[in-house]
Amino acid sequence: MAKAHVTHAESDGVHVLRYSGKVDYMSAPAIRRFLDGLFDRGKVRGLIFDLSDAEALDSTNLGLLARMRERAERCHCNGSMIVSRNEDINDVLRSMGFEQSFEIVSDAQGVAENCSDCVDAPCPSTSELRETMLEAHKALMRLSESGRVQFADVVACLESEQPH
Amino acid sequence: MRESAAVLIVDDDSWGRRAFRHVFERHHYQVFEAEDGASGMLAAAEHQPNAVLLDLRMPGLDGLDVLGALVRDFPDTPVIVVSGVGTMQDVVEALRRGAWDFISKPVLDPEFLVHAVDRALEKAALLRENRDYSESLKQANQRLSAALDELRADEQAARQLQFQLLPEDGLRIGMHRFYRRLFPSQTLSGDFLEYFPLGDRHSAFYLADVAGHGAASAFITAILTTLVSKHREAFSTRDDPTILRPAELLQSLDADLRAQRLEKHVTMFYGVLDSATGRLVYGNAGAFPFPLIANGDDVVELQNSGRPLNLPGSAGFGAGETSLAPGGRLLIASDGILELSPKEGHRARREGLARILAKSHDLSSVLEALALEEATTLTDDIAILFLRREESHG
Repeated sequence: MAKAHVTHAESDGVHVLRYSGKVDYMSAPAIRRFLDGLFDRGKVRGLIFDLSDAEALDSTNLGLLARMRERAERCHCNGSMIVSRNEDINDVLRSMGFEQSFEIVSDAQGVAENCSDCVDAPCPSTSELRETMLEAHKALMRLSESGRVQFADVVACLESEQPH
Repeated sequence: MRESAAVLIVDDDSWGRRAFRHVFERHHYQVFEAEDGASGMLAAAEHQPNAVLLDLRMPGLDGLDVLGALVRDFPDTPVIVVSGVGTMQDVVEALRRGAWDFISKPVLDPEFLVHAVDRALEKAALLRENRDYSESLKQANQRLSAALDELRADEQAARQLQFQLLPEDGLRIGMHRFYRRLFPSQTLSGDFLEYFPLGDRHSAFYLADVAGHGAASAFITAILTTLVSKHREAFSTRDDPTILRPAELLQSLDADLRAQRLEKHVTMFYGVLDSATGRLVYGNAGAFPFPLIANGDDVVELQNSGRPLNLPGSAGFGAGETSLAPGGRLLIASDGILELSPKEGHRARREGLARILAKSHDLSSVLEALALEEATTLTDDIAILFLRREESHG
């Protein structure tokens, strides 16, 4: 079974958390502290949970997704997206009613290519926000494949940020 | 330590003793002398030296016997044998009897002797430290296991309480018979279930799964039980109908749990059965896998689900209605059951469960088909509720 691993990257205020392996309650406190830190520092325009490489998420982590989405909403950042194509995970997400709170997409690559027309409006519509987030996700993935953007290990980030 | 270290020289040769004394004193050792084995033993007892230099060939007691006595009486004191008749057999015998080192006479460079003693003292100090360390570890370990025993006893008591709260296995309420099993992955489970009569005509049941497991989750199952029994009481004393209406009950439990400000969500399936007609009204707050209902060989999943209790989100709770024919069965299990064969995907597992239910008319055959026994080691808690509508009265 693949070891749980969560990494993070950011593009213009859109934060992507990439889950891989079997992510269980042992990882949850670190992810939680990391996201709390993001919100405390402000400047969260969108949250994308990329579960494409996740084998499984346990109930503690599913709960964390919902709580973080709620926190994003309180901060007037109303874009929260889940990228997932694992059927098992999708069934669980649906059984918990997540599709009503999150934008759930199966593949970020299939998004319209020309998003350059989207101008920063003071109050972006839901669809505009969706496009922006998907574009950010796509850009980050492309960059990370070419090795120009390193997804940072969330746990390692926390360890380096802990005051001693 | 070096300043106050004392060495005892046991040798019948007074010239040799004087030469050794000289070199050790130059290295700030305190020096004691003895000229034979018997006085050597006395001096060792009196002065408690840090090390002993022992000649093997002396008048009186045999050197090897003195060595044996010294090692026996002062096991932590290094004894270095310095002997003129250094046959290999002597060396082996001396080391076998506990000598720390063997140096043959004549000693050409007396400094070598000092080094040998220094080294022996270092080794003795390390051994002593090591022993003190093991001793303190042993004590810490004893304190830890005492604390752990206490925790285990607490958990055991809580577990007993949790199991006592479970309803009777095989209980019949009106036309329906209920069975249950709880398999905790740790001592305490975050899964829980109950079934009970409501008035003369109805019975109700639920299966709940608190996120996580262990004591904190078990504690929330206890809160949930209390909240449900509050509604049962309101029904019996004031005819409050909430407990008969799954959607309303889930909403009320959700509000009460949110008020507790506990960051753990709860999935829950709650159903109310009409004994006379077999009609089932249910609500589902995120319970997965979906409950299975079997009428004859026909098995369906009750797929109406929704947001778990105490979880943020805009989704409502799932609700629906169906009915059980005589001989009809219903099976609900917490999601730990999907972990039983991790190689299979959830969908295959759910289909497998449906096939099992189609052939099973009691819980034990379900468990048998799942190869689930009390001793199974689990990664997640599993709670299972099985109910059957009887064919006829009696």
